[in-house]
Amino acid sequence: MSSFELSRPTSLKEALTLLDCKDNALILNGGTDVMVSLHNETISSCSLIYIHELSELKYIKHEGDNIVFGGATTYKQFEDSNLINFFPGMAKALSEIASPPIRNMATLAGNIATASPAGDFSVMLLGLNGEIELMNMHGKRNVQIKDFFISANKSIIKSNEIITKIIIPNIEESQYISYVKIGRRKGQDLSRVSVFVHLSLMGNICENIRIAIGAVNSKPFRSYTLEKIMKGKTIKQGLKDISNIFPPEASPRRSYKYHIVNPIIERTILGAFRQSLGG
Amino acid sequence: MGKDPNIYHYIGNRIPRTDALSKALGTAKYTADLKTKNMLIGKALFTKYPHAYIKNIDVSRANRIPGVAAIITAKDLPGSKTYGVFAADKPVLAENKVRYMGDPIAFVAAIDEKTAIQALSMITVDYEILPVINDPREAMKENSILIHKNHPCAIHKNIMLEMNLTKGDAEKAFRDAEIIIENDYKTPMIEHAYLEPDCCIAEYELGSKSLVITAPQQAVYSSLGALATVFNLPQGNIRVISPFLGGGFGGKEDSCLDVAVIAGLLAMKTDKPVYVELSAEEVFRITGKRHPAYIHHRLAATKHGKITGIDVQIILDKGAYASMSGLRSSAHALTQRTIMYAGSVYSIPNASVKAFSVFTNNPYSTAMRGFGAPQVHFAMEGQVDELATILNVNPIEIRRINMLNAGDKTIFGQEIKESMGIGISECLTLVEQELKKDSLIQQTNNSIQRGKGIAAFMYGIGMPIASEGALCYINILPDGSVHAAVSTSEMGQGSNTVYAQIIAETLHVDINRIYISYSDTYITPNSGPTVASRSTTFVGNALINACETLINKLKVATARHFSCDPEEIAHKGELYFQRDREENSISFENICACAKNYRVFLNASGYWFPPEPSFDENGQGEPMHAYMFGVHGIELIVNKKTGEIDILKSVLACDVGKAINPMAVEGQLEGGAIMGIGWSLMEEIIIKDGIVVNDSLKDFIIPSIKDMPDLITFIVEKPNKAGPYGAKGAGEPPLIATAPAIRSALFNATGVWLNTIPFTQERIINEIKNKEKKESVSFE
Repeated sequence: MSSFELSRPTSLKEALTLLDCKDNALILNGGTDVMVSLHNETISSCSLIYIHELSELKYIKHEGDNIVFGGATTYKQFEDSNLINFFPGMAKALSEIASPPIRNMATLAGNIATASPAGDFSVMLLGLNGEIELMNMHGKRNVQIKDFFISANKSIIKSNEIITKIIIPNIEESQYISYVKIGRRKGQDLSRVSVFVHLSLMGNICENIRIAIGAVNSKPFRSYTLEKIMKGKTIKQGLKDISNIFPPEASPRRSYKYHIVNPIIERTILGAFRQSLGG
Repeated sequence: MGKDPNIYHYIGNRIPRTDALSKALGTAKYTADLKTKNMLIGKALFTKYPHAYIKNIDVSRANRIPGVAAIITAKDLPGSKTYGVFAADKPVLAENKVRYMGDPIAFVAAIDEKTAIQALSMITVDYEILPVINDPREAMKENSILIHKNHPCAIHKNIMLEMNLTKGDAEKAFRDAEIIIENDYKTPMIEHAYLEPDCCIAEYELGSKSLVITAPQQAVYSSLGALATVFNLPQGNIRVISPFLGGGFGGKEDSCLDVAVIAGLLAMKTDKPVYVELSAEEVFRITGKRHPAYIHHRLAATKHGKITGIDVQIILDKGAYASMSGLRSSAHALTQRTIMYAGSVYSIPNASVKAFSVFTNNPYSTAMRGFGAPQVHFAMEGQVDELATILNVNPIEIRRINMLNAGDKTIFGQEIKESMGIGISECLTLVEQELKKDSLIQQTNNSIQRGKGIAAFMYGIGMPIASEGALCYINILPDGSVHAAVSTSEMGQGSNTVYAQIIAETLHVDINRIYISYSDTYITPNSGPTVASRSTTFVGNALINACETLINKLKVATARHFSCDPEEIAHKGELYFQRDREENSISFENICACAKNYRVFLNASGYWFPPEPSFDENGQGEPMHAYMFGVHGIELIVNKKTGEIDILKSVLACDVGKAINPMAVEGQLEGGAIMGIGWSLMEEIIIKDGIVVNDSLKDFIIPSIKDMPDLITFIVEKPNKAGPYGAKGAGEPPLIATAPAIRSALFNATGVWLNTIPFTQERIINEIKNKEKKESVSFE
């Protein structure tokens, strides 16, 4: 296990200051990745700044047309919040992530900051067209999630920045979401392919759709090509038209993934569509 | 043995486990709970390369680190330089050569873990790297590099063992066959994945030169034998204790030795208590695994579905050391089981089976639940399924046509007698009926197909060696407490509860009087190892034997109390009385209190030996006294586009003779089924150039709670006349036929046969795509 120094700031401001001045500083915000990396010594000795219990960062609230999450909000808090009802299908999607003990500790922002190609919430946020707020001791900036990831475990986040907010536009009536992940077993496994769909329906016509795909490329991505084909068509026709088109944005590393991407996209779209039918 | 089943008080009852409360409260003591602050921490430096000569070892820099108490290398060993349960072929510390990633080069004791790890990093070793052999089929070749130069048992180069079984005339059976089915099957190396890592506390007392070894393990007496030579101490000066185990599954028959030698030698060297615990990753890299098997199987049959012969070649990946298959006698442990069970539960007149156990640079293969039987059942049951498909016969029917009935002989020539209990037919019926009911499926879709399949299995109780037998002690205390001592390890199977039930029933006393001491060579006698699904039958019979002695002693004490002849004394429940003068009665408790006044000690030893086993060089004989039988049925859905499998229902029927505690038996059946599902669908140790790639529970996955199907179990009770109250056993059989049952259900759903375990999503998709390709070619 790599050695580390631990700081427990009592305010966001203090955390940002520590982050700015410490060498090899690393945010500890749940620890479900960081602790594993320290144990495996895939990260060397560092200075950990523990923000997991900062009340300034632990909230879920409605703000205008958005739902806003503080940067230390856990999956568990999201699952338990009344606001989860604003995202029909989200409770089921969250239940696909890791295991209850891990969801008690892991944070939404932590999942995004790790920038894993298979990060469950990263894929979800991409499909939800979310935005994040990054803050350092000098100020803050807002970034569209689609502009956040660079490659595997790399993002535009700077070493002195903390994800302080996650902003998700409200799900409107006649909008439906669905998440499907395939692992080697049914739970507690990394995704081999994951798909998140945000579907806007008008009757049974796909008015708009966002298809986010994880664990296939070096970062989560959207298939704008398939989205465009689906748009304006009935779900049935749209699914038929995309059934034989492997998303050109995807570059699967292994042939198994190549075989299953389309079936999983279809399943996820159907999952969202079925909700419109009340099931 | 036994009496009218209607009047049993404890046998067959669903009695809660005697250790349940301690475990639920978290107060039960495991080895790690006994660690104290004054103990030194022991660590081993394992080799950097899987196959290499050691040119030089330099510990001088490590020795200078403050806090390091001792460093031991091969030249410092006080006794035998090698060890093993059967064959002493595993180096305590590698001196000249390393053969797999688990070979240790130095042991370090230090004041804490950090210092010990630092010291390990300061030891320099010069290696001359050798080519690595990971595949036993390569290792068998004449020109293959030798892994052992002078192995104590190897018969030819890297081939440690060859065993043959010949019955009838297999060649003729194939010449005359109307149908021949020929396939290759492959089963993977897997880790037991017990939750408790291997660990050990060693305490040495210099004055008396006595050593106490406390470690989770399955066979304290086997350990004692293996360790005494390493420590160069008389067996009487070593006390081996096994507290509760956090899982064993066969692995802790010998992985305990790997940590005990580290802790024991460091304790002797430093004269201080030493604690050693392997990390989870070390458990993956170092300890034993299930034998991977490569099986070539030919089956001959008539067009009416009668199997007339089998011709099987089995190649087992032995890994680097002999472990559980190093006996050079009539019995060859695991290799023997693979030839015995190569014909599964069927009456087959002609059989030719050949098995090789071959050294590689992989982790050593050891015992794991099923002990070779799951590998060969996978092949044989697979063949039987293909026969059923070719003939368009129901898989249940094909099994009825061929199954062993009373009076039939197995391929190893043993007549299966009614007195052993033969429940195959009942198991088939129960599984067939339950499998007829369809589970409700939520999703339906053209690509999602339902499939059902079954497979049968058999498994002998105990070890087929002359020394197989069990000994126990029982001592009754003045207040009527009954204290039994057995060397069985309690690893979650519930043996202590079953023993309490057997004692209470036989001695006619309240079960709350029973206390069990277990697995401690200073307290408990040699009841044999906790392996081979033997404890209930072997130790149970020994306990009955002791109870019978005690009843006689109680009668003698009562007779002296009433000044009459012991012959006149009878007992009913806890009341002892003079048969013709019932007013002369005394309670069990009172007679216990005064027995010594009548010069009677209420103690007894009990033992049991089964009929002497036999097994000749043609693989013919009577290796075990009785066999468990069963049938596993699987209902699943498979997504033909993604290869995802959803096991909906597992239906497992097992003939256990008599379920002493049905709740414990159900626990074994359910646990075995899910373990079998893990082996079938996802578990596989991946080795690259001799290195275990997936050395953690994150990368080596086992089923999660979401992978649990509806688990349905049926207990079939065909009494084993030689067993306690008719019992056989239940520990290992439940997972033997899971893989072939799933294979059968997958075929039923998709039309493809999978001959390699695990049935991963990729393998399923590949087979389906191959089939589609073949079909499209044949249409052209």
